[in-house]
Amino acid sequence: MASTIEFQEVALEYKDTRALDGVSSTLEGGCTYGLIGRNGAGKTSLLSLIASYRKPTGGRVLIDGIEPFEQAEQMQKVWLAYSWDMSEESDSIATTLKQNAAYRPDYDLDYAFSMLERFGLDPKKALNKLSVGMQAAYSVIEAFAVNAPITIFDEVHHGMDAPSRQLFYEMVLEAREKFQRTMILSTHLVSEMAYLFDHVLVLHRGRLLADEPYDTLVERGVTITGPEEPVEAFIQGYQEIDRKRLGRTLSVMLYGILKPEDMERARRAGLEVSPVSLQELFIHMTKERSRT
Amino acid sequence: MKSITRKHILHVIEDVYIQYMIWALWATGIVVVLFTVSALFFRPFMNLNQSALTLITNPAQIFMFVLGIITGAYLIQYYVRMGVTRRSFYVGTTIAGFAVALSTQLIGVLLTLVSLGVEALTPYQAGRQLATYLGTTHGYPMTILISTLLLSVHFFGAWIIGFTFYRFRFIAKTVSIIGGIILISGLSLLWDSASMMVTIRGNALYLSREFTLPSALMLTVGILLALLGILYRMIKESPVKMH
Repeated sequence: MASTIEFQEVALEYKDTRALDGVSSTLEGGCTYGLIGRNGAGKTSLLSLIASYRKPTGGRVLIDGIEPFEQAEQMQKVWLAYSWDMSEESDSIATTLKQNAAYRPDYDLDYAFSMLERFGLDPKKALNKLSVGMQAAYSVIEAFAVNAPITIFDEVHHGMDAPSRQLFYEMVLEAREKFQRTMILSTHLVSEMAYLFDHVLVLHRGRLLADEPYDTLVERGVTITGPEEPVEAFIQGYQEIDRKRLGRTLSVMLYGILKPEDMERARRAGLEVSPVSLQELFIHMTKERSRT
Repeated sequence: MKSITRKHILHVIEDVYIQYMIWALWATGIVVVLFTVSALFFRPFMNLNQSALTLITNPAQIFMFVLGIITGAYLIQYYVRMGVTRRSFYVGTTIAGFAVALSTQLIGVLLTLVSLGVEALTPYQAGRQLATYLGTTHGYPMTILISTLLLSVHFFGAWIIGFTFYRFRFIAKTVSIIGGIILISGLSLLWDSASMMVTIRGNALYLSREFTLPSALMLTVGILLALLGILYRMIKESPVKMH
């Protein structure tokens, strides 16, 4: 069931804008990918190419080695969940689910109805009568019920309240354990969702800034905490991301991998070395690039 | 690797046809109720010469035009989201469009039969006159064929306009509206009287040409094919909006 996605020098141009510029990467089947980037970074454009909503203007997108655009079999492998306008959708949730199931061979209607109950959604209610959060929950339920080998969530969960988002995250973990499904989670809620990612793609101004396993990426930064003077002495030569001070205690975030001898030096100096969060790294990486 | 799948085409035909026929039956019901109420209060409605099939032709053209606009503006994003290729969507919706056009005519025939039944039981006098095309009437089969073709032109012309509004910017939108109006008006005039009159600053300009039935039919089919060709080119690689 696992499907691989390959981007080969992918470019996408709108009339006046270059949304994607030479994106190359391979997304292995069965992994959960976090796609993060600032507003207008090109995240939705990239996802729309996987789902065949658009055709790249340069390069190639491949799903299991085949370009998906206008290829029925490949298009059926992808489900893209996003916040779409449901104001004209007067059919009930149940009717819509059943109608949509006709187009997807692996659609699990029983699962969909059981999840409606867990999210507290009434199947008889019309889609356009649902609140923004409920519409988001509907989109998430359908995305899992479709059972597509490639399931993409484009910030669809942002309208949900905290308990519903938690339920969504549990569904992601459950799907990862049970099925060999390739999932892409595009989000601004980096700190909340980072634990779900096997691999992280950081997109900025249409280019990939990072394409690494989550663990490798977060090793790129460390926080050094301790008394002010030894911390100041220690961080010489490292690139500083951010600093916080509490009394005489100083905490400095550094970008870069600590050398083993520096780790030892920090330990001897009584300094605390802790990892930097993905969100802090992301802010730093995209901020630096925006200055250039 | 397939860009067209029979299963998807059949699903699209079924979905689009059923949805549009539900609306068609609602619209027909409203027209029948309005007509019945009018007939009770206004004597002229009791003695109309025109058959029900003829009476519904103009409302059906407006109805098909509205359906075309809706098709162009809304449907493609749903089907691409479902994993249906643009080509399957195009083929399925085209067949459904023709089927709806024909079905509205069959509803007209059914209403005509019902009106004849009512005539037998009440003082109401049912009309029997069929629509006039090229200045004359042509019998039920040919009338149904011509009307179906004209309804289809309305549907596909409006589909182009709706899709232009979905995909393109101001100039293309304006051109599509003007083109659609010229096309549909021209065809209607052609079938109405086989000649056209255009007035420029008070001077009447007659574009008169005697069309035979076969030549008018071929011209109409040719226009339909041209519309379908334009639609295909517009749809086959169209980007789909995410909203």
